[in-house]
Amino acid sequence: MNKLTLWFHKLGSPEYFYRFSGKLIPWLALACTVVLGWGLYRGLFVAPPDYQQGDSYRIIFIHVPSAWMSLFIYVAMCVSGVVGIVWRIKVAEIVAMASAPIGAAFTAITLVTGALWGRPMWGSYWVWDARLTSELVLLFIYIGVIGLYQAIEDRRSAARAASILALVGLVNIPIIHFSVEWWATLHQGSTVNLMGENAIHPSMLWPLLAMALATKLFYAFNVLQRARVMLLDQESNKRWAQRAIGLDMPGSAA
Amino acid sequence: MDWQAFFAMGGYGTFVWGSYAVFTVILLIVLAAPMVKKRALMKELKQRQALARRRSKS
Repeated sequence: MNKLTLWFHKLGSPEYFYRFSGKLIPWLALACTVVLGWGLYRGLFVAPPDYQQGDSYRIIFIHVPSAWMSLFIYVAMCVSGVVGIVWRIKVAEIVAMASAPIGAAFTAITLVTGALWGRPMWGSYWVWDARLTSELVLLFIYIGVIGLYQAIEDRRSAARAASILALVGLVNIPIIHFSVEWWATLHQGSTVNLMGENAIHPSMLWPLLAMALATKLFYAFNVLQRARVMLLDQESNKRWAQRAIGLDMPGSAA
Repeated sequence: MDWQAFFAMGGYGTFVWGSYAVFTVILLIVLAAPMVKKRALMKELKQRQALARRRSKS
């Protein structure tokens, strides 16, 4: 096996995952703080007002990164969920389930900030447009995944069932992405493209990309933190977990 | 720097700052949740440890 495959195998061990993520977390937190600070400073203080939307467009620096994260986290949750279902890796199940609340939070931020932008720009907090509706459906799917995970008592079967539900909901992701092209929506199309021209000036693009990176770092930091606590909870009768938090219970499993 | 103009956001102050407030509050809750959960878990495990020790002594 090559080194990377071997490392992935090691990462599947709860003990190794706990130690490794513990070392990674402070660096992710530091990087997130720096990038977030820079992005907010450039977005709120340096970037000029938009020639049509004035200063109201500054909402995009949090709205667009949050919307990207609502989709990114959903896909990450599904990938981790599939690994959990196929190879029965506990760490992967936990990472999938730890992702759901963070994704739901970003989806909620997207909807609320979008409404607060829509009110002055469109004259309405909410319209039943394809983009907005499919994003609202995403929030309901996230809530369904979280609810199903909480409803089943055995943690491992709960994670598997909720991961399967998440996979069914995956069909909504391309619908959200392409909604602005498939239907005549009030919501504007993409401004930032990986390939080809960007319809945005660099003074506005860079803070936007910084915020996108900051939200990704926030997710990485937060999902590891959540996964560690869930892992400790599920493995609390194991020696490694007790050693890791300085406990020693007589009669524990190795 | 004109702070009054900065907070006014060209008349969109309520919407812009409202958005940033929502973003901050929700992410702070997301950030705090695992810390609160860990504290509760540690308390529970310490109680369980004390119980297990008492049992193994008697």
